[in-house]
Amino acid sequence: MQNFKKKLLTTTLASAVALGGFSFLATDSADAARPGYDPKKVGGKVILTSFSDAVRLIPYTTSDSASSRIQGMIFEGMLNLDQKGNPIPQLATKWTYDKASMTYTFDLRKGVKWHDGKPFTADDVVFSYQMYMNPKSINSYIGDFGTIKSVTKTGTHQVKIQLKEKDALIVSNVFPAAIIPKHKFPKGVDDFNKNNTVHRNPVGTGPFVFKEWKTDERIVVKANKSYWNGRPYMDEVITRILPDANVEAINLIKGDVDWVEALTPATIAQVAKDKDLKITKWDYGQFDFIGFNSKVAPFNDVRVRQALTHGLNRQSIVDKIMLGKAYIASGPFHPKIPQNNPAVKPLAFDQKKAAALLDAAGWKKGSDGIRAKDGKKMDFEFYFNNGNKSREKIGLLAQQDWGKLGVKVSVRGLEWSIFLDRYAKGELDTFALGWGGYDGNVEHKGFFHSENIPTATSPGNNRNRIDDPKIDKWLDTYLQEEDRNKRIKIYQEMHKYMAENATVIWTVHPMKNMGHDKDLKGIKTTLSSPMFNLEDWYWGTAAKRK
Amino acid sequence: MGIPNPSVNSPVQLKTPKTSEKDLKIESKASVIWRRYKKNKLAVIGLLVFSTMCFLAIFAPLLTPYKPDVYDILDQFLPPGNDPFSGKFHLMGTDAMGGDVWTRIVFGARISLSVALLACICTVSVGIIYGAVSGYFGGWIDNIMMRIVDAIQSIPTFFLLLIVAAIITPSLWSTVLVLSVFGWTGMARIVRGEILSLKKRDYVEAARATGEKKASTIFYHVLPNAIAPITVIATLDIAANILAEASLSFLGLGIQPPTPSWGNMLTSAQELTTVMDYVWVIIFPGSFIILTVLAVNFIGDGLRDALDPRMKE
Amino acid sequence: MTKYIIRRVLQAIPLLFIISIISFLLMSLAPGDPTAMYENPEAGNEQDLSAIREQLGVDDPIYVQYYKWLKLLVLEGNMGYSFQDGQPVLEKILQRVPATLLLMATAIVISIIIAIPIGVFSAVKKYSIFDYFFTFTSFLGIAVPSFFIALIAILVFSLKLSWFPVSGLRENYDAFDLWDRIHHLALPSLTLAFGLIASKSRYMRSSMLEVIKQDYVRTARAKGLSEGKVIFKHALRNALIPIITILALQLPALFGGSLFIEQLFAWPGMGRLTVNAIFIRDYQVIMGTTMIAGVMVVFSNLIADICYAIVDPRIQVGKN
Repeated sequence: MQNFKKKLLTTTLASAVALGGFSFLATDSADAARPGYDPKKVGGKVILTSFSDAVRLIPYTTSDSASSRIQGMIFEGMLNLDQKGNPIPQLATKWTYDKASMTYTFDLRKGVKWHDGKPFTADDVVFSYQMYMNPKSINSYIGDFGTIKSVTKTGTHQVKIQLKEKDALIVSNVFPAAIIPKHKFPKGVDDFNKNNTVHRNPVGTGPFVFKEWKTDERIVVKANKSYWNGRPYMDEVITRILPDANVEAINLIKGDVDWVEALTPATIAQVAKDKDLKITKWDYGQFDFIGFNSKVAPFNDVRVRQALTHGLNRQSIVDKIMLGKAYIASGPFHPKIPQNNPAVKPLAFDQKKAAALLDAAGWKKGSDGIRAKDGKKMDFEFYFNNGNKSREKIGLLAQQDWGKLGVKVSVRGLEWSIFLDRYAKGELDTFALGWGGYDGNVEHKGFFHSENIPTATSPGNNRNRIDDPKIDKWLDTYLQEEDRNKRIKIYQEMHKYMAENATVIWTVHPMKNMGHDKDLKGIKTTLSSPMFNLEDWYWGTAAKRK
Repeated sequence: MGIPNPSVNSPVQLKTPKTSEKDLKIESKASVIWRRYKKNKLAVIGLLVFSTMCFLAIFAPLLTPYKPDVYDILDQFLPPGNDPFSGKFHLMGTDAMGGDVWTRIVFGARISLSVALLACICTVSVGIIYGAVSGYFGGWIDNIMMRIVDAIQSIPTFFLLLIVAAIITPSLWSTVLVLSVFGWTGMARIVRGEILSLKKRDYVEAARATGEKKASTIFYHVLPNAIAPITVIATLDIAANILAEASLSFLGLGIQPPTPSWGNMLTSAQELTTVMDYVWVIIFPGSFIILTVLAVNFIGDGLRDALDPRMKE
Repeated sequence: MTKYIIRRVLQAIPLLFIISIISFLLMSLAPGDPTAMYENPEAGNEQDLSAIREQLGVDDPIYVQYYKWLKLLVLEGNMGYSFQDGQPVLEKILQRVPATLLLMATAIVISIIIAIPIGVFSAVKKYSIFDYFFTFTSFLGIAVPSFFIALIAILVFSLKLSWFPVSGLRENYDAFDLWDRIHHLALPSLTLAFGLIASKSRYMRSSMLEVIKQDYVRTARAKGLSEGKVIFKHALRNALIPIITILALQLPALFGGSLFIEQLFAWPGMGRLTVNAIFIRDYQVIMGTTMIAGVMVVFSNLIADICYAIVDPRIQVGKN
């Protein structure tokens, strides 16, 4: 999770038309209902799966996806993002920006109640931002709030947020931050950090109300029948914790669960055979790459990076390892976002060219068939995180392909926390990794800017140690540029440069494949979430709605 | 355990290479053991199977035209038999990376069996010495030594494994090390138990009374009598080590591909589609592990019956 | 005997102390950082973990962390708070113990129920076709890697035959439903038991073989008692005692759980808790489970030693 991405109120036009004159308001729903709301679809429960249990259910106290998914059902932000990633109203009905004072003014929705019945007011918004910005709070995304100068209440339902400096992306990346109820945190930041009762019994304003959490078994939320935007169709959403991909798929095939977010390539074929199930391919904003410490030889030489890219059969990764469920990557931008430059083509698989580039870089084949330069052999390790079979296979493929070029590679799995530790220290020769969860509001400064190279004293996300003034400049101007079209052009230019220079070895943009009961309807996805309109999911057959 | 049978105590079993007369008797003892062993049909079959596995491991390069760590992913999941496109013959098909399964099994046998045997030698030697010393001396020495074993057994093995795996690159030797470091305590405990029960017996008391030193008492009088359970447990250790190597691979801490081991072959085949659609990738390495572990266990079982001097026909 | 037990219990205290020091030292050696679980370089904006590091106290020198941990344990009986979610460690453990206890105890009981008759039968009918058959089957249980057999069991008995649910502890969360529980327990416990039968049945067989040759059994036979009576009344009772020792040594497993089985059957037990804690370097939880394992090992070894003494009166515990 990077932003607190919310479910949203999409206009399900098709169903509204089909409904015709039968549309009426359900008696138990609030006085408002979202456009396209159809009371006939109400009822039933859906069972989802998660690999791991949630950690805490209060937003910004966690960074794991299992927790943030449940938090997203219960909590809401002032704004939300629509399917294309554009900001739309949620707890705020309207917002305005004053350029001169760099101040945003939000009018908050009136009449919204917390799940425990207390009214939602501007105090809750101010309190939430105070928590997230408090240096003592365990919010590890505190940096996202860095450009905010102050958050002040200007009425029971009005809030002003003033910025310290220009921040073109704050509307989409920060203002959807979830709002938490002030009255549940009497001790302020102490409760936010440590109060277990609150962490395990969340109270939000969202479409779903927390019901129960059985450790390592399941988490249940139920419909918020007085939700301001009309109750969700499902009566209950159950998330079962199933820590094994095979078992998850078997549960789906047996009908014990209804929906799996992402089937592994190796389970898709079995699920596809089942006539009661459907596999929906969805695009997830992610790029996978083979990285290295860009500051050390031989990877600081652009010719070596290009040679290794040319020398790796990336089509095989798509066809044989991802089983067709991926796009070849040429940079960090998913093909479905505007920042992707459609004119850029991935470097072709060409072993001859690769060999020539290595020769030109001074790496000549020795008598043992291994290339060497200045007495140092091109012999390195390739790391992947244990248990990730696709990445292990990519390592084994690279070992074969690069082996033919005279490069010796040893493939080795590392346990995740050790992997991260060495990655941060720049000790991994080469490794397979991915970066994902972004959409058209993507921002890559943390990952590629030289000022984010970690050192002994300051941590940073640029663990590949990419240090290129050209890239730095693009990243900086992108953040300052308030014109969206100009902004996108900047990243498109950077994309071209990163592809040609093989900044890292771009491998693929994997697609995700959700598996679900074919009767489960209304699912829409975004580049960052497969369940962004969970409240609009419904059962097609009446029997399942009970 | 139980009431000592007088025949157990005959000095014939003392492995003293001093006189030829005794050698002669040991010789005949061996044929007695073999005669008893033969009675257990499963044990005989086990011995045959295990010898075959060792044969495969030793002559691996002669048994296949392929190399275990060179493959082409375009050949992935070919069924057993002749591949009509390349004309290549794959006795047991190919795996997800296009590696020849038979080739990887015979080369994997080398790794898996060496790991199991080497680790067994280590655990048995450490375990016997530790257990024997502890059990024989008894008293506070025993107490301290056993509490150390308690302490080692209390710390989650898995935790220690991770540390070791993080510090050393997983390889044949690190796997042996890991299995040995954590494997000896069970043996020590059992040897100690045997010694405790044996040392009160008449012949040990007799040896003591004649003024033999403690150490020699252990090695000449007590240990030979504990040989039966030790041998049996050692064999079972080999079986357990083969399985432990597989489990280590499952956790990603074992032998690293592309070097084949039975454990990492089985682990990499643990994907639903492989299990359902490309069974040969999992069935063959799986059968080799199961057959070998069964064989070794049967050998241990046969030895138990054959070696135990208390088991008279 | 009482004196001996008291002494052993007292000895356990320094032992547990040593275990705690060793574990703490090992943790300081282990590569990887406990706050790594709070970062996610695969999906995330830049993160700042300084407040978390301070709250968890992970930047303190290792002896300070140990002192704090020990003080809390000794003075308040508090095992600390999980690094991951701030829950009290004891609470986290107690949430998982019932499920693990249920699974392990069932598996062990099933394995005894199956192993003892097999052992007796194999001993009495040594080298018969039945002996071979049971020997083969029980050894099969230890010959198949547990992660492998669990997957096969799920595929065959849940997916193909639909005899059992695939995973989980229960389906009915509203009330205690005995049948529901048994139905969910059956497959994981049988899978687990399969691997536990061989050691017990083989031990039983050899113990039985030994007892049958004993004088008192011969005497019983000579007195003209029926074979069945000889076996069950005289031999079995004596042959059973060593099995108790084996069982005592399995006590720690009752609380430790089984990682592979819990993982594949989505069983909310201790095995998953421990391994997850190790993976994410949740030192507080690792210390908690280690100390409990330590107590269990000490306790079970004590029982095993006492059993030895009961079995073989010539061993006098606590004396040279």
